Amino acid sequence: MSDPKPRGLARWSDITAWLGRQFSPTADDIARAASSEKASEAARHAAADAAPVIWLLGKVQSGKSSIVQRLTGASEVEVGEGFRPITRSAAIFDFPAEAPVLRFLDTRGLGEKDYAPAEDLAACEARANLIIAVMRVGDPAQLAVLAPLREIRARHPDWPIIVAQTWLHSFYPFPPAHPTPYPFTGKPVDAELPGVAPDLGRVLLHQRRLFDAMPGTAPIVFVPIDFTRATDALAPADFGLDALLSAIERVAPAVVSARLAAARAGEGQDIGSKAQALITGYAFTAAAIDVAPMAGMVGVPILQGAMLHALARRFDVEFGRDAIIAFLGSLGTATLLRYAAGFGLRQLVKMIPVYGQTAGAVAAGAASFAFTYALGQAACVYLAARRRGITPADSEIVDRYARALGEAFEIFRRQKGKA
Amino acid sequence: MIWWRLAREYRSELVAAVLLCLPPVALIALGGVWLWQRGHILAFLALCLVAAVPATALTIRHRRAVARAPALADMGPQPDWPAREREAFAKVIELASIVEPLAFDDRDAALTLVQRTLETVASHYRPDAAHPIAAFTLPEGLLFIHRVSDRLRSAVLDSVPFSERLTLSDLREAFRLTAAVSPITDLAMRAYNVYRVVRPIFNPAGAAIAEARQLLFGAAWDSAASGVQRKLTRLVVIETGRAAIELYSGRLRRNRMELDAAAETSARHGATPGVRPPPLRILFAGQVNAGKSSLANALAGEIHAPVSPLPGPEGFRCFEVEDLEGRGFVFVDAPGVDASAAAIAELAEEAKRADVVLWAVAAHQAARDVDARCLGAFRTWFAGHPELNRPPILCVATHVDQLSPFTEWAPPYDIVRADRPKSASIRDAVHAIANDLDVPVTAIIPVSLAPGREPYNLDVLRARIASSLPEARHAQLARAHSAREGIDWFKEASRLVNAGRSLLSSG
Repeated sequence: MSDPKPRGLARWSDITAWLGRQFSPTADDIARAASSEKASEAARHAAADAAPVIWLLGKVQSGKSSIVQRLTGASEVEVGEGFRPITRSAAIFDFPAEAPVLRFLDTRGLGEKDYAPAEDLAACEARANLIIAVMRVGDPAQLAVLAPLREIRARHPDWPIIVAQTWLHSFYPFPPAHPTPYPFTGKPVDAELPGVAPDLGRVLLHQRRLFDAMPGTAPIVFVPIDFTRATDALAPADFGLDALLSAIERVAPAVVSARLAAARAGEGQDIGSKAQALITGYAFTAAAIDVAPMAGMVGVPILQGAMLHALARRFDVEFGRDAIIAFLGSLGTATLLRYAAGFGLRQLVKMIPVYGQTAGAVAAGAASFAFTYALGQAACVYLAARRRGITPADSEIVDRYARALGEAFEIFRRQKGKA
Repeated sequence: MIWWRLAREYRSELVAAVLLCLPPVALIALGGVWLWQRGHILAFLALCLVAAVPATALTIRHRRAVARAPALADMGPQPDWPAREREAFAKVIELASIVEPLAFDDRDAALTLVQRTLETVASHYRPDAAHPIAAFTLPEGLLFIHRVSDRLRSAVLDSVPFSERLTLSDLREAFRLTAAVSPITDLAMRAYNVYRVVRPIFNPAGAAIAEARQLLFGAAWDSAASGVQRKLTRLVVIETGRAAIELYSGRLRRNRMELDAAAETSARHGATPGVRPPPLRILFAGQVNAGKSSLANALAGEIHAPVSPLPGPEGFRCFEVEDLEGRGFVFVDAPGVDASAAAIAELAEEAKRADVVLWAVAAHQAARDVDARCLGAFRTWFAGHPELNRPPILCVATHVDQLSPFTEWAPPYDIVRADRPKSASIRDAVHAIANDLDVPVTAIIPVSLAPGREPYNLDVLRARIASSLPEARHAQLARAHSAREGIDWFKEASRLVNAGRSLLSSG
């Protein structure tokens, strides 16, 4: 930001002007941030600080990466290259990289002699977390996973654990075929399901018994999954993904499950799915910095500018300063955004059908979340049209903006409501 | 002294020989007279000269060849010797190459040489002992004498010229005589002279001609004799050293039958006792579910080890099997090793007892840290025990059917050309395992023993095991040697010193 610093009473007008800009960003602020790499970087840091961490614990090749792929929709290569080391033994994958909604922590040293989880714990235990233990069904030697798990649960008895039991196909008779429909319940009955190889049932149960002595009170959920490559020709390639998602929905902290659900909302669309995760990432970050503003760091306009910049890159559309100002103008941004963070909030919220009369209870972050989210969705409509080479109609953009506001408050309520 | 004894022993044969020699010797004189009378004596001398020139040339060439002759065929270390013994043998060879040839009538020089050889070996084994040379028991010392004479006998047979004229029993008889009056070293030193003495007894006519020839070619003969002298000196050092190595490494503490018994006890550890020659002990090791038991069962051809996807019962299971050629094996099915130090130590302990280690690694399981550490512990242990041969380790990459794409199974797979995705996966897995476990790629045999299907590559594994059996047998023997009871050195000390003293002073 290039705001002047207030100096003394003589500059009182400067102070008010500065404050005004903080709470009613202009299209110009946003457009300026959109063309600044520094702003993108600051937004990425802010998002990474705010994003919850899903901690994947499992031995090499147990299937951690394929879980990250299926949850985020990223390709094998993207996941492989996306993990950045953060401690000696852990690497982190930001989803999405520009503004993480969620971060996946992969502990690499597991099974090595001197691995101690203390360093990794220190690196991420400050946040609300979810642990996904990944165990291959054919591999009963899980001491390397269980030992750090016990340590973590002893310190955080309220952290739930989802145990993904992978590589089911290694126990299928030849030629391999998945039992359909997905039969597993995570309960002991899994051992005697019709259509499931008896050996598979036994190893599933044996592996679950390893958790009998696990300390802690939060639930431990077992989800048999089998994520395979397309070249393996075993359909469906994401066997058990729905069960895994519903397990996350059930036991994960609201901040994790709501963020994951919101980021995955566009699943199936080509660019849309990735844009959805991006928008969600920036929107949640906007909410987070509003609740606990980080002094002198990032403001909502910077995040929004960075978001427009990232979206334009995803859609591969040139989105220069003038185009951004024109786009925001078509939204009537000046009005809407001023309403967003300023005194007009209550009135505006009342207009939103889903939220209705409880608007008074809306936390400070909700507005920033909603307007960032809606801005992103509207930008998607604009950019998608531009990508197809047509000029988007203003009404279409405004319409999407209004609908997105409604969705945003619903997402935000889900996240807050469960917590 | 020996000459008198020999003369007394073979008095009648000597008289007979002299009588038989007289007419042909007379023939020489008579022939000379005839040549003289007919005036051909100059022609005859010229003929002798003409014959002597190429003969001298030939002997000179032969002497050079003898001097250069590297060693006898059987000059290498024993094949079952581990590193410690091989090092000692290298020292002996070095000593043999620097010593001066012995004069065969100088007993003190010979005894000094033998003592020097003994000291070289003894100090290799007991560098810190005050009297390293005496550190063996009396029965060992006697066996040592027996070994040296035994080996020298055959070595002399190989190296003494014209010995093909003598039968083995003749020579053994000669040695029986000399052994009664001389210590071991004399055997070698006198062997050549004994030969010369004994020869006319058994072939008087030939001996007479030979003596005549020696008169003619005396110089050439002496040079050949010095070649033999050098050869025999070398033999004395090497064979004394070889026997000394066996003495000081404790190999003489048990003879072959006792060794077989020790090998048997060690091999059958935990298995039911049998009566056949010692079987080889094959250890099947690896992580849980690497496929150890399936492998053991497939090789045995019947179910011995329980096969289960869950961890097996505690401890090691042994069962005896016999292959088509009637070779006996004890299969030891190890419990799956995990990351705990106790499990690794326990497995390494068992691996020391094995003659072949089959290390099963699941090809589709990339967490091989435990395997690498276990094999590392195993290697380190053997590096610290040079008296033992490390048993051959074969790595078996199991479950290759589970490699991507696992929906395909159409063997055979050519993993060198790797023209199909599956064969490429198998090749990659083999290379990854070789890298992780620090073994050569060729030491890894990919197999699949998926239930309900033909086993894949099991015949290759069988062939690899068969080709490692000689190495396995060496490991077994070295282990049997070292598997001796603890010895109370203080109690034995006086006996040992006395035995050594008596052995040395008997020369």
